[in-house]
Amino acid sequence: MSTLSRPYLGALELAVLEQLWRGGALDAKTMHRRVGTRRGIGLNTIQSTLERLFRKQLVSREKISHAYIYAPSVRREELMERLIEEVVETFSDGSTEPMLTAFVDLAARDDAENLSRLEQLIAERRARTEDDDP
Amino acid sequence: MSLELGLVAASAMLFLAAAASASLLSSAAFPFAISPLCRLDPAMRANFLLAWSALPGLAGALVVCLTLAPSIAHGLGFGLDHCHSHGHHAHLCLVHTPLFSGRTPERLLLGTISVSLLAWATVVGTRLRRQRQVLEMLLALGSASNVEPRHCVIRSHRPFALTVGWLEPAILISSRLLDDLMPAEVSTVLAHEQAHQHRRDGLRLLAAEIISRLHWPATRNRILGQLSLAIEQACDEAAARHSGDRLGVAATIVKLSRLGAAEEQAAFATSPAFTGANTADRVRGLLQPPLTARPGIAIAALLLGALLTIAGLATSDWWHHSAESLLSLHLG
Repeated sequence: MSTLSRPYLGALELAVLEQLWRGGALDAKTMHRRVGTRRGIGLNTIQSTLERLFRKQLVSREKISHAYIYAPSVRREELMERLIEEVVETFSDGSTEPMLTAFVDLAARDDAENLSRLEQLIAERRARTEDDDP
Repeated sequence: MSLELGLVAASAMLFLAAAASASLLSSAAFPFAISPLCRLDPAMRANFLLAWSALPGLAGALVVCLTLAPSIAHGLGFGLDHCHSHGHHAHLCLVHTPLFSGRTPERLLLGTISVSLLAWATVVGTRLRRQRQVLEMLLALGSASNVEPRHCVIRSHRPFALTVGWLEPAILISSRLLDDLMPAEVSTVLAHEQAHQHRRDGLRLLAAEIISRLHWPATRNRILGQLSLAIEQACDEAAARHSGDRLGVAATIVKLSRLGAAEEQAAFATSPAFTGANTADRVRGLLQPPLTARPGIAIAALLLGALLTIAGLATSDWWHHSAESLLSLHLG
């Protein structure tokens, strides 16, 4: 999980992972037929991409006969949620970007009471508008 | 008499002194400027605030240019070489002053400035690169929607909508937001995000983040905070024009804030986001009729006055000699 906390995946790594999410466990040759051939990429590149994903703990592998069979070890939703968390963290953490400090000062969380007051204001204004313009 | 510093270091000192003075003036003036600024149309207010964020840097650049104006004019062929009139004080010109003096104080000054700039650029560059990587991955993992405006749907339990990218911004909408909002509300959110996209607000925020560095931190925070609010309000106005229902936009903002609060998620910040800035200010803005104040004549008069003053200073040599005298007083 430590590598998943800050993953960076290039376009090919994402395409390979996408194929594993769709098609389940695959060996490098099958992956090459499905992803590599279309892109004009050699088998070696696909193998090293799978190796990188394995090192990043995003896929697991099992040796069957003479070939490794790769399977995704992280769900698509899990990876997306992790990325979104990082977006939230990066964009909202005052300690990361000085500019965000300013924004976080302004973007103090609205409590339920404030939101209710705003809803009431909107409702009153809407009622007044409807009275004025029946 | 010669300066202890070469032209580069002397210009850097002038730049920093002018920037620090402008920054002090900005800190004193900004609290008084907020109220009149808040009466402006939000899009125009955002432009003003962006310009304000650049004031110290602009002041520094202007002072350096004015100081070098006589030699620049001479170099361009429409000014006289006035250097023979020097001798009683330090000389600062593009033609005769060496770029570097090679003395230790100059090396220390330029070394400190260079290392600081490099460290800052590395830190900011690394963060921006990482943000771009994450957003590229999100765009690749999300599913593109054909609904106009074109956007990317991200499967997430968090309700959010944001516009990301600088030159070709993309709109990201979470599946939770699409599930929880009514079609008219989704349309409002998309109109707001599309306004961010058209205005390239991500680029504005990035520019403000960089050019406002020379302000004092507290003032800078206030300027950037007001800028974020103005940008959000400009896009709220665009969404209101799109839907024709200002109160509907206000209600959507509150609804999304409530959903976000329920999820205990922090508001998305630097990227323009639908509920990014101060919710109460935005809602109150939408409860009022649209602000239309665009003081075009006042701005034109101000710009003209500034241009005439700059032109006067650039052609009089007075500024050039005063800057040289000041530098001599401090550096010998």
